[in-house]
Amino acid sequence: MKGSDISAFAAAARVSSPAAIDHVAPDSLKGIPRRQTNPARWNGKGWNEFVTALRARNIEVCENRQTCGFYSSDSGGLAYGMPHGITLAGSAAQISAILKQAQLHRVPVTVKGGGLTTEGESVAFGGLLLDMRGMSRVISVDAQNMTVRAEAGVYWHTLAEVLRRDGLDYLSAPLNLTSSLGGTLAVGGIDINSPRLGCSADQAVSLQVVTPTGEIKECSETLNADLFERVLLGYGQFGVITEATMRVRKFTPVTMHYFYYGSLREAMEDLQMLVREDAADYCGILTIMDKAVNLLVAFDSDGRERAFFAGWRKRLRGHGELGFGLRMAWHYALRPWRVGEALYLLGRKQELEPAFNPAHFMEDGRIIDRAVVFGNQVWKFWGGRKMVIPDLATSADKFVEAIERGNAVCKKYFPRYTLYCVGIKLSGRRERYEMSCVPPDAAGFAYGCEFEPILGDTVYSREYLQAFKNEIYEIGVEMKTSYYRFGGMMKGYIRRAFGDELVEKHLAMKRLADPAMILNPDVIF
Amino acid sequence: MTETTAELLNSRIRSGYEHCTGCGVCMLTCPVWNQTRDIMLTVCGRARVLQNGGAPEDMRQSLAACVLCGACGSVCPAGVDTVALTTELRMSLADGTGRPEAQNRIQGKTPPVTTAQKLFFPGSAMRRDENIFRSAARLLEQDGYILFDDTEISAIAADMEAGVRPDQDRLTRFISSMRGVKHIIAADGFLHRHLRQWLPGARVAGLGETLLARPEVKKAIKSTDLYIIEPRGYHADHSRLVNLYDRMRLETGCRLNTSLQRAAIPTGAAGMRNRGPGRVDPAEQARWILHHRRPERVVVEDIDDMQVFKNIPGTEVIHIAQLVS
Repeated sequence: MKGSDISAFAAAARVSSPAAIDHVAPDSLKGIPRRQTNPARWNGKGWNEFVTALRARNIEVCENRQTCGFYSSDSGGLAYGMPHGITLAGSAAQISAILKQAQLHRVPVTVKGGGLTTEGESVAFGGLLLDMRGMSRVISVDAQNMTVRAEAGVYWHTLAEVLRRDGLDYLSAPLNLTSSLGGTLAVGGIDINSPRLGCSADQAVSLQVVTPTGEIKECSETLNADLFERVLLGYGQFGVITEATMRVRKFTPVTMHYFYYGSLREAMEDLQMLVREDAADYCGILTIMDKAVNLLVAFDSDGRERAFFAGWRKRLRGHGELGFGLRMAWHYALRPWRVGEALYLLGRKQELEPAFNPAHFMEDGRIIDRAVVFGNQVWKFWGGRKMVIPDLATSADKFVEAIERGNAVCKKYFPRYTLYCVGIKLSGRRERYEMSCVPPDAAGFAYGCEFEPILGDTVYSREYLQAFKNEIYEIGVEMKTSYYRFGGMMKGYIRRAFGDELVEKHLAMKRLADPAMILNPDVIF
Repeated sequence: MTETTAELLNSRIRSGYEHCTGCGVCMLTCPVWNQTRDIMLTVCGRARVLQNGGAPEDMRQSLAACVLCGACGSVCPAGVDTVALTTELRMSLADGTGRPEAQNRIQGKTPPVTTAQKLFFPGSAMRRDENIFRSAARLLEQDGYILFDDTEISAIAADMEAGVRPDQDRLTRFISSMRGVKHIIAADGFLHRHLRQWLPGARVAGLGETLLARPEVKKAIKSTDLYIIEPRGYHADHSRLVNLYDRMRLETGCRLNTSLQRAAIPTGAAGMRNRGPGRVDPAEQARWILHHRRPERVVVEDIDDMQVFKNIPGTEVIHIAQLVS
């Protein structure tokens, strides 16, 4: 760029900037009122005094407009809000000082990890945004007791990278590797091995937490157990997780198998059978179309794989690739007017197959670092600047009906979409499960399904996308299920799905723990 | 960003920054992120600043921090050309503010028109180490490569890396002089992407890759070695080289400086050659590469990495060109 160009560019950039920052306005959804349980908003009062108090304690608050702008949305790209300032987390003591001052000056503090929320849960509509990624060290690996202690802002990928040097791996984590440890523990954390190992939150041994009033506490099932149960799956309402001790396991490459179904219902029933009977180390459903459903089954060991093929394979109604290919060829030969659909299927297969089996991640027919491969490809094929992924979390009994209803909604709104379904092993009846993504009527296992339209280059209005999400969430209200995306823009559904009594009970606990209601105010309450 | 602003910037930066989704996968491989945990200093931060209507001035610190290792680009799911983005932004910044960091560049000799088809560009760093330089040149001579006086193109590359837009006449003279060249081995990985762009008819390869093709070199690599891939050239041709190095790892049993993403973990030392110390401490990067690894020997491709590893006590370091000499 020549000197004159850059001056013109800078001038244009200045002209294009709005005169004043409005911290909440861009999030308004015309025609679709947000169903707020607590519509009152903080109006900026006390911010200057709060920042002065923090700076007096050597806590840096960045109010630079470009930096604040960077944090104005989350992965969903539909909720927008401008924080007044950003602080990079440095230590539990620093966060304690921030929260004490926030209580005093009644300034909201929104905590962000990887920012992979899609309903604006990690967006600050004004106030301070605390970026936990400043605290992302792996503190220690205890190979004898098979645990790791890490700061909560660490990415799962970074954790995996460190553990690998000792031949270890985490148990289960979201397929998205830029999720943070603390953020995941606060919402659950589902992987394709969750049918065996449960959600990430259930793998926490102990936590260091800064309470909303600024106390630094260690908690576990035996120490400050109430706090432990409140903070896990607590959606950031009852404290900031600053460190966690997690269970780990030996690293193993994985053998993958794919079975193809022409019926979504059959695939879901078979998935439930595999989950119930502990037939595989990993399993999940990924649809290309509802006539082309992929059931993924994978194993850590040869023994488990052999047992599956000896006992369960013949009970699956899915086909191998060749068998399914022949069936589809016959199907479309009889319906030549659907050639477009057939070509889409073929194209998708040709894109996805090599991407999910790259040679440099394979060894002796096994995939090494499957989470890296899957995590990257999920972004490549399903990622975008707008991510619309409403979901439903159900008990075993409601799973098939809820997903079929959700599938019908997808079909109504979008020509192409993907469903991603997994089972989640529950670890008994835990307090942490109450008013969370774990459905109240689930016992033994819960099931989750994400409904993800493939937006491609088509431009959809925010209203259209929100209307789609609302329709999926309404299924949850009608069927009394739960949601994995829990809060933010869809928090109104929580009260409707769970009822006033339960929400009021948790609101009372929140008021007790957080008198000024400053911690993550836009998530649940 | 207004349409005019976007057009203006897009005409210069054809990197696809507008496709950045903010997924953060790039940060998993970024040495600046690894050491600072400040997202605004990463390419993800820079792309988002541009998307939000920011200008190069708004990312001065961020641009200075980057070591241009290119690891981010090799893993970006949106296909953003991150090295092009950062290089162009640096040059935009220098153009607009009076060429800050990168004045007083040495002008090399204008190259005569070469009739050779296979050339070896040793680069400025390698030329400073007589022994390694001679060993590499000798090995490559056996494959028909002619040692080339690349001071001029090295100077242009150094300028570009530091944020100075290359003089078009100077560049044109260099390109014209290379018309008949079919194969180039360049030790400086930063040059690879540019040489491929300027000389589309020539096959450009790295020194490590070329020497590894010699059976006696590959045989000299032991299973107890830690092999340090030169990251800039590797990431500039990642989809091809990732498989090549993976095969080498399986054949020799050695370990590589690759991350779980199969990007090469850089020391960042090469990025400092033309810009001085920045936000990445090469010693800290080297310690991370060696974390929980006890190699008997570290084999490096990049001469800049030699000193970094030599400074770590108890580490024997050897350049790949010395393996069979």
